[in-house]
Formats: sequence, C-alpha cells, structure tokens
Amino acid sequence: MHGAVTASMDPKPRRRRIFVGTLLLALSGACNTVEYYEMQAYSDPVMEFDDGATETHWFQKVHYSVEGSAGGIGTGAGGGCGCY
Amino acid sequence: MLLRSWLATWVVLVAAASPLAAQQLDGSGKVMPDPELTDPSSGLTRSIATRLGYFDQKDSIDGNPFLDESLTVIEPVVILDWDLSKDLGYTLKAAYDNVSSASIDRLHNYPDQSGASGDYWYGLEFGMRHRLDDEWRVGWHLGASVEYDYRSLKAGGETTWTPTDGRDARVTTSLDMFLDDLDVIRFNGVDEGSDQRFSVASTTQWYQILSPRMHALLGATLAYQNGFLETAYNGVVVEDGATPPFPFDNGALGTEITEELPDSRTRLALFGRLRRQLVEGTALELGARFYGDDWGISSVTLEPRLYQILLHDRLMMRLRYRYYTQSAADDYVESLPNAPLPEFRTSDSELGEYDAHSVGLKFLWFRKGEWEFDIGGDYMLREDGLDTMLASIGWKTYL
Repeated sequence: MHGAVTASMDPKPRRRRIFVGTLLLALSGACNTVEYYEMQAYSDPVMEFDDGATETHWFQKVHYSVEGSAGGIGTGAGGGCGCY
Repeated sequence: MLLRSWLATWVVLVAAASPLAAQQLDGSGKVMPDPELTDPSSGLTRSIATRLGYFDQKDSIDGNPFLDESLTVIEPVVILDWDLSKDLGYTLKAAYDNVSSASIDRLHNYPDQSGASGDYWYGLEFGMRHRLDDEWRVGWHLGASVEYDYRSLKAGGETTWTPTDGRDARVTTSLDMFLDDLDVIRFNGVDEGSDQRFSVASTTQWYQILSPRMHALLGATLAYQNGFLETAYNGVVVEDGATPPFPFDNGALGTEITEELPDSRTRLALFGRLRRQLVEGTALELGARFYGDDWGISSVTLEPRLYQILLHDRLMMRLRYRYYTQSAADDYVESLPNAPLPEFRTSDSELGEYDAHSVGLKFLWFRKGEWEFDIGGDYMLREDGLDTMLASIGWKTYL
C-alpha cells in the first residue's frame, strides 16, 4: 500500500504514461482512413508541407554554418562544405 | 565589384539550368518539341526555382571573446525540376556562395597566408527519379562542390513507398554519402598538406494524414563521419602572458594553437512536424527536433509556425518562431591556460553552449500552377551575442 502511494506521487511514470498515451493517440489516427471527399482542407495552400527546394537548401546551409547539431546540405551527414 | 560578380554568376547559373537541357535534338541540330511539354493535362511537374539568400552574423566582442566571428554570406541558387514522363524526372541544382568572414580577414595578418578558408563555394547536383509502380518510387543523385581549400563529392539515393490501400501515408528512406578532400591550411597560413573526410547519413521519414484537417511527419537521421573533422583554420588561444604577434580581440596575451578534434563522430536526430488547419486559410504547425552525438553535443529545437492567407488564392504569410538550445562539445574551451594541453580542443562557437531565439516572417505571392514569389527574413537572437540576420527572395515558375 505504501509502495503504491509512493509510485503514484512519482511524476516520472505519470509523464511516461501521458507520453505513451499521446503517441498511441497519434498513431491511432494512422489506422483510420480519411475519405477522399473529406480531404478538401489539403488543397488549402496553408496545408502545403513542402517549403520548397531552394528554401530548404538555404536553411540547411545557414543552420549548418552556425549550429553544432545541424546536418549538411541536403542531408544530416555534415559533409558538403567547409562552411565558414 | 562584388555585386557585379555574384549577379554575373547568378545569370550563368540560370542559363545553365535552362529548360532547353530537357529538350531533344534531332539530326539537324534543331530543338524538337516534346509533345508532353505542350499538353497541359499531362500532370507533369516542370519548374525552375531561384533564390537569393543573405546571411549576416555580427560580432563585436561576443561569442568567443578572443576571436572575431563576423560572417556575411550571399548565395544565389537555381533548381530545375523536370518530369520527362510520368515515370521519370530529374532535378538539377546549382548554387554559389560569396563569403566574407573574419577568419578570412585574420589570415591577412600572416605573411605566408594563402587566403584559404573558402571565400567562395560552388555546388552542382543532379538527380533522377523513377516511378516503379503506383506505390514505389526510387531516386538517386550525384553532386560536387568546390571551395578554395575544399572539394566534395556526394552520392545518394532514396526510396518512397506510398501505399495505395487508403492508409494516407508515405514513407521515405534515403542514404547519402560525402567524400570530402581538403587542404589543411592553418590559421597562420601553414599548409599541412591535404586530408579527407567521409560522411554517411541515413534518414527515414514517415508522413501521415491523421484527420481531414491534420497531417504529420516523423523522422530520424543517423549519421557517421570520420577523417579530418576539424575546421582547418580554427585556432584555440593559450593564455601564456606572452605578447602575441597580433592582439586578440579582447586584448588578452597569449598564443594561438590549432584546433584538434576526434576523427570520428556519430550523430542521431529525431524530428517531427504536426500541422492542423484551424479554419480555411489558417493553419498552425508545431515542429520539434532532438539531437545527440558522441562529441557531447545535444540539442533541442522547437518551431511553431502560423500560416495565414491574406488574399484568397494570391497572398500567404508565414510567421515562425524557432527556439534552439545546444550543450557544448566535451572538448570545447573558450581559452586554455598555459599548462599541459589537452589532446582535443576547440573554441569554435558552433560547438559551444548557447540558446537562440529566432523570429521569421515570409510573404508568398502565388498563382496556383503558374508561379510563386516570396520574400522573407529571420532574426536570430543568440544568448552568446552572435546575433544573425537572414533574408531571402525566391521565384518559382511552372513551365
């Protein structure tokens, strides 16, 4: 009983449960088919996921130049330029 | 002079990526019209996109107080994207960087300096994509880039699986390799010959439509590098009380020695984006990235974005905030005391600890399926004082 009370006061398992629950909730969406006639929102330009190839290239180059965790140009490898 | 040189380069790059490259020549040398080019119902993607980017990092006595880390980059890039048929397409990318940096200026202090450290960069990449069937696509690409003291070859490929059973998903896996060859020209102009760097990275991304108004992307990148991983011209200050030949930015007395870093590095990044349409013409996105490597750097990036239509079918705005925090590499030091020197050391601010907050605004004018024009800018406030301004303008025409 004492152990159960201690466990419920520990915030870590609760956080883990919330994280797993959120992940399962998100993944459950993948099992549901969105019908074709329900997808008109995806023709709205604000839902376009792709930033465009030239902008993607530009931000990869810039972040690679100033951030220690950035990848490289067109990849996460870190190659492609000496980069300043 | 500088303006004229990069404008001329941009014109050359645009010409090099001309759509004529996709047309066929008959025996007489005349350009034959491609019947699919004139068929607007073919559903093929054919576009040319250009961008001119400007990057400016100011350093008074910020970042590493011993070093001047000012940097300005101007980059034009052109990308031609061309479907030859519904099963085959190619991409051609050409880019040029013009770089002014403190590391270049500093070399002029030394009589034997060579001017190395890259005050220009040229890059060219060619890729093909093939549709195998309704579900599978494969692609490959080859690239090369060159700087004064740096040459790089790139090769890679990817597969994309789009299940057709109504799962509303797409899974992409890619593999990229770089083989870089560089001249080891140190901060004082001493040329230590050439060395190599090998990099390989694999990325898997899962795109998923979650609901009629929400979609997401999850991904992971695992990368490995070995070889010469230092920045050849980077130095580390040793405060020994002696007068240096050239004073450091903060007036400290000492000497400068070469940066030394391990010859391998393994990196892992997990990233995701979730976007939801709130009402027609308005969407909100939350992006995040978590990163760790065996040099001791870990980082977290959070990036919420707001997309808003300002004029129906004409003008869109993107407002973004980007929070970035990273821990320092194990071998990072601001300076070293005059004592036994560690085997590995770096004072590169890129490998130091800092937080950064960026705010960016972009406006996109467009006519669906015909053209797009955008202009935008970001300002990055860094905790270590190396604030950065970014701006770019882009143009894309569907052909």
